[in-house]
Amino acid sequence: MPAWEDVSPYTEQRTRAHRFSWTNLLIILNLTGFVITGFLSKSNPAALAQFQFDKATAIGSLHLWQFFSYSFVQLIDARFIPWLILGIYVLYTIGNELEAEIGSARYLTLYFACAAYGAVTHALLQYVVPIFAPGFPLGPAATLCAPVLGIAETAALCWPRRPVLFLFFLPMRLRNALVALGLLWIGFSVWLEQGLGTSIGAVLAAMAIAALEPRINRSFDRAALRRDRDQFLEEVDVRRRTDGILDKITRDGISSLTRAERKTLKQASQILNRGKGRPHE
Amino acid sequence: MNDRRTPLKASLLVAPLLVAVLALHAWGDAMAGGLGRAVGAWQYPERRHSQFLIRVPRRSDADAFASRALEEFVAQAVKAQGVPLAIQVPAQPVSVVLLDADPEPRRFGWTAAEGLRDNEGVFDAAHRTIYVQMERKIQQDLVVVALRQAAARVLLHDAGSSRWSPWLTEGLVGCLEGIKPGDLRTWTGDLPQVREILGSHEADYRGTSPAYARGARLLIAFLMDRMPERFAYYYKEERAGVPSPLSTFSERIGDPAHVDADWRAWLQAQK
Repeated sequence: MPAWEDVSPYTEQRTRAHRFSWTNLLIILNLTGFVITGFLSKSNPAALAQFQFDKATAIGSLHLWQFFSYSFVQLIDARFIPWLILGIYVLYTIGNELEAEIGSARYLTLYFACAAYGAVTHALLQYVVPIFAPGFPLGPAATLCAPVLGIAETAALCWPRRPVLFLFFLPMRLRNALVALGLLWIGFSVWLEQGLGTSIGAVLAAMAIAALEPRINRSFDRAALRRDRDQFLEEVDVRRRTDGILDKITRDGISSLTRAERKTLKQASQILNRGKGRPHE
Repeated sequence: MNDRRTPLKASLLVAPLLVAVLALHAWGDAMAGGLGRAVGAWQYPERRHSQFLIRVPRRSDADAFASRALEEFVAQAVKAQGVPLAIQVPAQPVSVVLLDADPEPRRFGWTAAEGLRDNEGVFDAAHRTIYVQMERKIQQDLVVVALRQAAARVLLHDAGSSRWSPWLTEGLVGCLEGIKPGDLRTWTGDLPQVREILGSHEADYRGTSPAYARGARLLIAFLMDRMPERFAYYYKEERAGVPSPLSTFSERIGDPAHVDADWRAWLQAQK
């Protein structure tokens, strides 16, 4: 099985820290968030609560920044540290490559859309789960897991057969590795009492985006193709009629043209001018 | 990215998010409340027994003994005290919820039942509902006692207890329960003075300390035993609404300090 660098044309260029990428900036923000969370969780929990996602404040009081800010607040728990390292590693490798593949704007949109939809799902769970399972812990959300899972999910859908080292040592296909990692994370998120709802929401959002975007692209491509074909047929038709009209002008003079023939000539002029910019030949 | 596609993609990405956030902001709590009530109604199906709509956990038959106890209690209370206390069989249906062990009643919208201990009951006048917390293994006798206390509050509420002094309501609950002076022998501990009982508030009857509740019940038992006519006048005035229970008590029954001395002598005689 080839190594990551062998199959990834961008790795050499993109995963170097000295080269700017939005992914690397997000990694720095996440690590900074971890350090700040460590300080604030003891000295000023109220300030920290302003950045975590909780339905009561984010939806009840419309603190809309919490839909995004929660992903930079990390859980201060020894059990979470391996997941933080793994998340950062996933961003550094897969995230950088995905950014190079789809472009920074789409990448950032995907990252924050996954965070926001993860937050909405967490809110829905906060509304509904206590009714059926009152003891189930669903406190404020605060991890980077949602956008990281969304990014990894998108990469797995783009390159399902790409080889990766699962948990840094076991060679696997990206799709299989992500499924295994996702299942493992679900178990951990229940144990850690953090990140279940946001992860589910982010994965669903990434899947929906991966399913819808190609359809939208295809629909636009088909529409453009139809438009071009119609224009081409119209052009051929007008050219054919124009030839007859030009013969008539040569033979009888321009004053012999009927109103319909003049109209056809005008159309031909417009089409030929339009064709100058984008010829069909 | 094709420029013509971008607005559509952005709209498709943002619109569901915005709609979800606004919908949850507007109806999230109501939706959760409605769902909780629906789940509560499913887990606690309602069974009608004359004027009582009893909810018990699914597959439980506790409603049978509960309805029997309630109907007997209401009939007995109305027969014994209907005329002097102007109480009657409830005209409007009363909901009764017998809660299972560990029910977390808030999720079903039954906030009044929060904090109830085992075999304890409460009457939520706003929703005209009695809640009684049962144990995992139902202690029928204790549940019946809790039901009778709560039902007494229903009867007094219908008679207008929301306008009365809290001590009067609390004392009359004991009276309707049929507590006799002889039953009070086992009650020990310091009792508040009559003046303190007359000036008590609702909060004094909540919590774990039963001193005020016992004091009110003992005082009513004493007044109905020793000076029923004066108490009847006082009760009539309280029902009409009085600004100060203390002054009305002084006018209709006597000086609280003297009544206090007589009351304690009476209590000694009961022991």
